[in-house]
Amino acid sequence: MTSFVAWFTSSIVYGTVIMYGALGETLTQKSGQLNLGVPGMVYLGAFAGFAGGFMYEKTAASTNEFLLVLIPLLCGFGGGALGGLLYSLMTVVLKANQNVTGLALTFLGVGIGTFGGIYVLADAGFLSFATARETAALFNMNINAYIEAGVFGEMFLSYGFMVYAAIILAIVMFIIMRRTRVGLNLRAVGESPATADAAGINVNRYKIVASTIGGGICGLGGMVYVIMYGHGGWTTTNSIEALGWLAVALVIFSTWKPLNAIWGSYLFAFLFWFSNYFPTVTGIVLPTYAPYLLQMLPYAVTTIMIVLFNFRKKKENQPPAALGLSYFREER
Amino acid sequence: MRKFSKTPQEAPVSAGAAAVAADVNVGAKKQKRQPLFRVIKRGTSSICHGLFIRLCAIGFALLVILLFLNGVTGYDFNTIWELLFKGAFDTEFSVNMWLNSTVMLLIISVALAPAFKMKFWNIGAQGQVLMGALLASVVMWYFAEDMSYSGSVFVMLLFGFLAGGLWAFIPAFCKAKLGTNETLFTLMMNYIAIQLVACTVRIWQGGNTSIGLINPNSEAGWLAPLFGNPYGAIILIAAIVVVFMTIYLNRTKHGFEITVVGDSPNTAKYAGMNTAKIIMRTVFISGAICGVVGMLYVSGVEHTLAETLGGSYGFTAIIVAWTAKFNPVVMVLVSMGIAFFERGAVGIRNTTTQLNDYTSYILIGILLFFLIGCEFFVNYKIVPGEKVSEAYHKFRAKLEQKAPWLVQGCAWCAAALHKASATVEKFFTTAENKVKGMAGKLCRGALDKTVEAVEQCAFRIVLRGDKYKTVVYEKEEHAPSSPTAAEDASADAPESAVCEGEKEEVRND
Repeated sequence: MTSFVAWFTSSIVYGTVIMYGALGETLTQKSGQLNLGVPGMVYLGAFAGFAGGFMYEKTAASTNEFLLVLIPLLCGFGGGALGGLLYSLMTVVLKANQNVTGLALTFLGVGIGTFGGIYVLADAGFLSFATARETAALFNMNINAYIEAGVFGEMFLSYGFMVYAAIILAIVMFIIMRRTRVGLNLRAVGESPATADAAGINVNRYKIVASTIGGGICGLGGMVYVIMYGHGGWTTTNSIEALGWLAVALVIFSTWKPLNAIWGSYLFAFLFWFSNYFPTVTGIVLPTYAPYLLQMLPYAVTTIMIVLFNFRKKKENQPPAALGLSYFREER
Repeated sequence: MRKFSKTPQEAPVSAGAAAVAADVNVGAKKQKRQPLFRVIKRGTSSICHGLFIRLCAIGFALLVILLFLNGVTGYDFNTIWELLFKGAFDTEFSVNMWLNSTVMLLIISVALAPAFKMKFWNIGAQGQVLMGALLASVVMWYFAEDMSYSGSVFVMLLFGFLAGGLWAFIPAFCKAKLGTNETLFTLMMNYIAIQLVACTVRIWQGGNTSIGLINPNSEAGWLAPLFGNPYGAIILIAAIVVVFMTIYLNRTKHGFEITVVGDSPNTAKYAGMNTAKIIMRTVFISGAICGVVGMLYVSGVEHTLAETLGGSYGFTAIIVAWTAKFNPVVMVLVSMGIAFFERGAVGIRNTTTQLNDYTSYILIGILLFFLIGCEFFVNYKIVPGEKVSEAYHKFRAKLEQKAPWLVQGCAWCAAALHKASATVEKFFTTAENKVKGMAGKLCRGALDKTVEAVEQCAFRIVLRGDKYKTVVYEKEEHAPSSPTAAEDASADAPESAVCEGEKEEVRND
């Protein structure tokens, strides 16, 4: 039972990272921008959040708890948002191709993130305690440590506030997209920019703002990965990049709906940890190649779903109609 | 230009990007909103102008790269250049590594060119390379030791070709028949391929930590050095692929169909082209060449299988193919440059603790962004809006009063520049036309001759096999009322139709 609870909790934390990436990318794609730079933006946010927290802890004489939380949050959001802004300026103002720019952003973001992370560590002399420890402690602070609610508390209350913030963000995004004028305009821009333009909506501004905020949300995911999941230590593994692509898959899997992204992200993370926890939970020993087959599942299922949606032709499951297409008013 | 700026209300075009600039003035009266700048598409972009812009972009990218390295390491510019060059070209080994990187990137970019030209966004080069590598290594692992060298290499090439092609064919089929979004589909296929390869590696390694080299003792299935270079065979294949693709895209019916489907699917449909078939065929070829790259990695470079095979070249190549505008010669240059920075970054990293393995990502990322961004200035021109041009004219009038020599000098310089660029451009266009004409003639002549020879050959074989039917056909022509001949003819209707066409050709001969 305890190992199942561990499986559950690590899925929730890991899934939160994917969820932030997917929510940011959903917002971006809803405006018709197919930004393939998610891994880059997640990396940028991860690096900026880590560097912000780490440098503040290192330089400040006495740390303020409020600033310890605020600085990584702002840095993480800002790092990702800068990536999104660069992308949208390239595609909207400079009219570059969306796919190519997105991939270049992945390249640059992964480069800056990994390089900068190691650079910061090298500056601190690669010492093992080169972690943003106080910040991580604040981000991992939870109610369960105080009230001891047993298994229920461990499963649902033992997370830092960013886990709950992700769910709230998804609900808020759902409400904004479905129930407000801004959301309607945003969806119109993604579905048919020419119509939106004719209706007086500033297409370019919507695209730029959506990409920038979307990038910022992706960046928050990276920050959560390093500060909360990695307990404030910078890791140079490729896991962040894989997370970024998982987020892209999740956007399709959730059929561009923020609410579906909530359970989808936990499901993806559950599958990700399957091979780690399944043997200890059930006592069944898996062959050595099983983890890789299981990690293939999210991608395989998403691929099948892409095909199935095209068969069924249900309108609410289709991607935004103008996804990946640039809109230039004079080239109509 | 001046006339245009005076009457902006009548302007036929207004800029999308200018709207951003316009927002600055939102606070002012709404009706008098005037964009500061307008963006206009250039009708035909000249070679000279394009070259100049791109060179400028590369220059700026280099400057940013140097400033970045200077800021991080504290070396001066000369030292940085020296270290970069040393890293890429110092020893024979590093030159070979550079060549290898260049060639691999080049083949993948060239492979992607037809798909992109058709506006089929094949993001799945990584997966296609890995599937080619997977099947080639399966041959190497199980069968290569029982085969001759040339036999094993041929079979591996074939399997790599088919595996990559089929892996690309799946999304192509869904796109052509169902209209799925190929960008997302091919992207997902990458990760499925990565996990499949990882899975195979784990199966093969059994209880060990890695599979090590495949056939380390017999070296069966390993590409032997050619021309005294360990990567000679790979370079030869790259050259063949580049030449083939240049001819295929520019001088064949298939290439023409690809261009038409890419530029205007409706035109292709009205012209009676089978769009679905063209998409599937082209993407198969594109993926198959990527699969060959996978085979080359397994057989010629790594001699083993890993899910990290090929690094991120599958993605880099997409940007290379795009920035080169599908021109194989430009692709050679761009991939050389990217490989240079990749290898050079290794050289400079080894000299200082301030840099790490990921330096090359930043350098290449900066270069790519400048290359992508400069396309805007190649294709569009920025025209000042009313306010800006008014201010400019006021300023100019003032300047003319105070320092007429400066204005005149500037005007003279501008005229000289204009003239110079016009001459250079003229030279370029004539030279290009001449080369194109000559090459075209040569290629077309050679192609026509081969096609003719093949046709004649096939024709003879068919004729020999169908002697009897030809006779029947002749009988029918002479005596159409004969019942037996008519029966025979109706039984062999398709064949006789074929014979008819061939017979006409014989008569022409």
